[in-house]
Amino acid sequence: MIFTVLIQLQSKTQPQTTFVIRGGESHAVSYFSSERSVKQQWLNPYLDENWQAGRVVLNGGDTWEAHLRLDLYRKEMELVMNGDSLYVSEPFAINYIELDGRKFVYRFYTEKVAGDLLLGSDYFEQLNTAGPVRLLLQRSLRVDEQRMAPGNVQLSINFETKSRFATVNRYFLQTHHEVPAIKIKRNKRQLLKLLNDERAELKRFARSNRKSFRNPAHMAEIIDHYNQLKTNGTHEK
Amino acid sequence: MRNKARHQHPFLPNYFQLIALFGNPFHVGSTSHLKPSKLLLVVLMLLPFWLLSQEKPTVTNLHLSSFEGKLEFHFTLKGNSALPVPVHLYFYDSDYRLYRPSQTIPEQGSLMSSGTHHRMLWENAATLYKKGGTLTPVIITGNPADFRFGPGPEAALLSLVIPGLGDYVIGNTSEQTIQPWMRTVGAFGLLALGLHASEERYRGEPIYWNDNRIWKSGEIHYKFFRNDAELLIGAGIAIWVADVIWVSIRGNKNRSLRKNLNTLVFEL
Repeated sequence: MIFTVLIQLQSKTQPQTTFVIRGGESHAVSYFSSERSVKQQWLNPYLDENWQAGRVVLNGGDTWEAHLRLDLYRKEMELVMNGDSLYVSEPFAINYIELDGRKFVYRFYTEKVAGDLLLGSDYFEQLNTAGPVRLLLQRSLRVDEQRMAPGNVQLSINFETKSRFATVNRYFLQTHHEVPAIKIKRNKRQLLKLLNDERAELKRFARSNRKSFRNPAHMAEIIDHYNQLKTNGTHEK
Repeated sequence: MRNKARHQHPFLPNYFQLIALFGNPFHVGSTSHLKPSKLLLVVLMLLPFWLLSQEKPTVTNLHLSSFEGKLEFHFTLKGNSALPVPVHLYFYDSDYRLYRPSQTIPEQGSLMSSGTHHRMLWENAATLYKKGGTLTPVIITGNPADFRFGPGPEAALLSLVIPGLGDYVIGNTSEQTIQPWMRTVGAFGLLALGLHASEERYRGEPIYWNDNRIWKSGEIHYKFFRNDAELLIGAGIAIWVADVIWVSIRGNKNRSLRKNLNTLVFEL
């Protein structure tokens, strides 16, 4: 794992601002500021702007304790560790990240758009407890720009625009740790199609425990039940 | 090894169908023999199929696996040619810029024959993280300079004649939610219904004054619903036009990809 160079400016008592340097760009990160302007709230690209205690577990088993936050726009995990502000530059070297009691993994994913197979990689929140089948939640940001007031080019009056980030949630299923996650719709048909070998048992489980195939929390429980069935090998029909 | 005899080309008529059409050329009897004109006709008919069968293998059944930041592409090369062809792995992004991964196993341009279970490993797939966004993988057989991603926007002319026809020429229809035949049936069906509704529409008897002058026109009786013919014909035309636009967009994409492949390719 390679971390970026960092410069930290400290006041007399505690750090007020940290500058994260990424290549040619530098970004000021004010994480002790209690006041936020409205403009900042509109343009907050983080899953949670505040740093959260968490830990980074590497593929080799090493664990790093840190304060973390996820930048949804740049798809980067930022962390403060021993006073240093860093970001994860080799996310495939990480097994998982625990953040605010939630588990995040970095995975390749595929989706089909208009007949084309799109391939990408991103941070996902793992909604179910353990593999081999994982229900993953991808959060991405959509930038909406709204024109507030008209401008005039001749009078050099700029258009007044308001930018707003909207979080888009999408659900993915990773059927095996060596397969990219695939985008799924939240419906019974697609989930059962992907977990076809235990279709009858999953339908029975969902019916008897009143679990919905549209509710992500319920979907996670159904997938956990599927994993349990596969681990045990046999189950009562 | 693949048993070639079991793989009948989908476009090639089989031997028995040809016999039914033209008679048996190997029949020794006096009643049936192949005249030179018939033979020429058979050759002319088979020529496009023969040319089609000599084309480079096409890539089907592409799927991926990943481990430790590496990506492995599994695919089938479908074709009748027994000669191995060079295979290249490329990607394109949403702006149709082409990317060529450098570290692959086997190397880019390695020779592969038609068949299943072909694999290509992209070792530094983790660079996808640094690039950001999404990429579409494309496996190119033969010389990349000669590779055609598909017909250009001129395929829209076919959709102008019959809705859905251009989609078949553009190809890759199996993944589409709305299949081309649905567009054909939808457009023609709605147009036919609209024309039928128009023919069945009639105006009721008018109301007259005492001197036989019309006081009020009779009410229009629609076949299905109010303004049914206009709405149905409009919907049919909308599907038709949408299909022409859709094929044109996909044709433009093919043309852009072909142009970019021969001008600017980024290394990954």
